Amino acid sequence: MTIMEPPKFLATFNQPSPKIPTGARDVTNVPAQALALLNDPFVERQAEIWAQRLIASPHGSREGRLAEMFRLAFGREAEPRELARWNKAVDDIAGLYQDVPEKRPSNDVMRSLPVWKDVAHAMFNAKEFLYVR
Amino acid sequence: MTRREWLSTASNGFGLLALSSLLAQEGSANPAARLDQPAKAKNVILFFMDGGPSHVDTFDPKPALAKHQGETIGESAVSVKAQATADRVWLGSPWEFKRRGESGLWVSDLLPHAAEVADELCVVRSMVGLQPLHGQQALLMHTGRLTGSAPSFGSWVSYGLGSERNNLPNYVLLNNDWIPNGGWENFDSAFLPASHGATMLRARGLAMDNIKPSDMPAIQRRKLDLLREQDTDFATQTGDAKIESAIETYETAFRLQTAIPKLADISGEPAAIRRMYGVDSSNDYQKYYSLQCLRARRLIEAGVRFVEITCPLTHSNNSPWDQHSHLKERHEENAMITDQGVSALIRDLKQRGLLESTIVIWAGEMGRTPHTPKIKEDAGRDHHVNGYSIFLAGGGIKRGVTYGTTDEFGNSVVDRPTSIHDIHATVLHQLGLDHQRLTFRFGGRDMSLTDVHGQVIEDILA
Repeated sequence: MTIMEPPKFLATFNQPSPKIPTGARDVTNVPAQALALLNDPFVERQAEIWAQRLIASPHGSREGRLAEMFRLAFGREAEPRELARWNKAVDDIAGLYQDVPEKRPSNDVMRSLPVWKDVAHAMFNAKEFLYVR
Repeated sequence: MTRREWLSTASNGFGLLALSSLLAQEGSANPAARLDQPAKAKNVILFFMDGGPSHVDTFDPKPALAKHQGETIGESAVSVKAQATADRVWLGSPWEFKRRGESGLWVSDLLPHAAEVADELCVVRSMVGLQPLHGQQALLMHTGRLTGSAPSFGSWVSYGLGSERNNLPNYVLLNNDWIPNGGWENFDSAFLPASHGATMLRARGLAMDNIKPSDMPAIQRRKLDLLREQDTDFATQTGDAKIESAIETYETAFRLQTAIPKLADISGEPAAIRRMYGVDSSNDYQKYYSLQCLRARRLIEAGVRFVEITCPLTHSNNSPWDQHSHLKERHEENAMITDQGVSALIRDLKQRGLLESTIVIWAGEMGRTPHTPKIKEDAGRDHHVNGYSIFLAGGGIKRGVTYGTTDEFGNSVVDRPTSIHDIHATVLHQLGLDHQRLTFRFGGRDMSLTDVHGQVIEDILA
């Protein structure tokens, strides 16, 4: 970053301009922020890194992996209905990638980087992740 | 499952709450949107000429300046509302003024295109500001307060009228790579709900950051559906209105991904329209300014309530129209960049029958001193808020008229001093909103755009 131009991604989240003293950051909730979390390459990259870690971990089951993700992202245990909800999403996403040759998961969805990157990316966008209670 | 289906089957309180807010959005039932009187207009376009175009070189002819050029202004002409000292000298305008159109409205040769639409304009010549400083005046103009930290004019309009179409933001800032003095506060929703803040579209490159989906559409939709279920649980548990509003924001963001690129893309516009606006100009500044003017029309057609267009900064001085020196050269450059696009937009709105329902405002945050330290080739004019000109057009405002009068030098107001709050009150009035009743409870009192100021200028209403 430079004094004249704060990093775009952080500026979207109200990082103050380095040129002027700022008492407190603005707190805003605008579509531009949602768009950054949905589409910015930085967020995508972080999701990818997390997915790589997950795939390399010895999780016995999808539920086990999702439960671990809940602990890491939200700091709590997942409820059974939440596990079912996210598990269903894993199925659907894997299904949607069947028509995309470069992303088509092998028989073992547990090892599919595109699928787990999407799950990680969704978790980064969960309001429970974004808002501290 | 569509959003509507999902909401109608949701059995918890949040679902009902979201449904009612959704219905409110789709109808016109924003709780703030009860009009106080019949509306003459429903949209606003603000051309912000920041830096301060000189009133005595555009819309307020002062032959006395040429006659007395070089003579000292004297103690009696000094005002705290201008950068002024008694030893400065009067400076005549480098441009010739002519009567234009059928109305005979005076417009100088600096703005040849505005001159062509003179019959549409209502020039207010008696604007009085509070301090001859860019940031403060820009904030005053945008938020009604020198200190800012209050909702933007566009945010109040958005809040007051609600949205016409809910897949678009109500308030769009068409920027030209320069945020005016006063910063983002000029365009912020402050204590109004965040959805009323300006959404900025850039002239160059991708109109909005991250507007292009990073996922295949079906994948993104699946993620958002998953998130909506997950987030709704979270919102119900926390009972926090902020979470509900964040969920809404995601839906808006999703829709913007298709809506914004479509509106920003002018490739389908006919050649005659492109020429009229100047979007193929060989000068990049003009090209992009004109592009933003054409986009403004598309946004208004699509139902966006308030569109503001800002100027590009061509020299690294304080702000675009801030010609403390090189008045002739650089006012001409700014005019070349903006004049054609501005008048093209006015003419285009008119030919589409949209000018009647759209109030156009052309205004800097200040004017410029009729005097200068010393007569020389590259002389300039300094900050002046003690009487300056802006114009309004459309939206049930009188056409081809002037309002208010400055003294023979354009140095102070002698008749009908007008504050920016008066302009705010008048524009809100035309939109069907009473500036004293359009309020929002904050900090223990009912806040409004005009605070305790402002009067509707009945004399300029058609």
